[in-house]
Amino acid sequence: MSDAALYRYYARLSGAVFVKLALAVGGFFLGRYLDRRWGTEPYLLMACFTLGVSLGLWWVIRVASADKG
Amino acid sequence: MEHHSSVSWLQMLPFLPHGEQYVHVNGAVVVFLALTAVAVLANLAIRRRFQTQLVPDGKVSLINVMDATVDGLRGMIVETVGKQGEKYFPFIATLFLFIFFSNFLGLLPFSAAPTANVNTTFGLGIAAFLYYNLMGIKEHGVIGYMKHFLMGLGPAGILVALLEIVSQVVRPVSLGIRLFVNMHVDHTVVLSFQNLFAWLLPVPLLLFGVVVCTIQAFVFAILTAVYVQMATEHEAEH
Repeated sequence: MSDAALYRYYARLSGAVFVKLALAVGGFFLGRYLDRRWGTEPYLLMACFTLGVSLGLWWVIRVASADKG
Repeated sequence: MEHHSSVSWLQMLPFLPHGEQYVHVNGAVVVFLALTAVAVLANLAIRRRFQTQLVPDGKVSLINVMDATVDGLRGMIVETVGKQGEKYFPFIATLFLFIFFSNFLGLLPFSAAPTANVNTTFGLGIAAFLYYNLMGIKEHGVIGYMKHFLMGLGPAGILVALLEIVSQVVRPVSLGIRLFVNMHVDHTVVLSFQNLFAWLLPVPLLLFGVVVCTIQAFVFAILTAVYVQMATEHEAEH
């Protein structure tokens, strides 16, 4: 594998970790907002946070298992 | 609140008014401005030198060091971005040199690293983000660049495209946080050991700091080069 391909792979992987964090935090705040709006505490917070974390995890696995070449 | 990365000697200057009623200027901003002035002066000096002496001589001189550095950077960027890397070389090399010297300034006594300040690193991250997106739009056009996010998946790739947009949005944040945290922690550790015992004890940490400063400048530049390559590549290059 060339250096360029390796740099590209690591750049995407290091960014994926921040995507996971952003989705988890985004899910938490979206769920909290929707819970307060519709009075469904704490179900939507739990659902959105779980969805955010799951999506983030799927994204990390997708990026990590991508072809490095 | 006392800030570790503030320039302490700034408070000692007699002609500067101090007190709560005056606006506090962070030391990193002063160092940032000084670095910019030095960069402009160095540019003028090197340009003048090139007019009189194009072929470098055999001894170690400023012009030879700059020549080797710029040549090395050029090779690294062209290898990462590809043949068209020459076009993006000035911006990425400027980023590298600015971050490299900013990082090193933090290792000097009574100085501060502008890159240990979150405003500088986020500014650099946003500059890189704007640059590679503009280059992507210039290369593909607005519609072509937007299609680029679908990564050849078509309408089925909406979720992937949305996550790709999230990953684009967090890139300046990740660039900024990575550089800020590394520089802040490195200089805080050196400062703590310096306060503990100023003689010899900080030397191994200063040597470690030299490595960290170089690697962080390299990481920022290489990531920007990779992002430029990803924004400007064509489907056939996948």
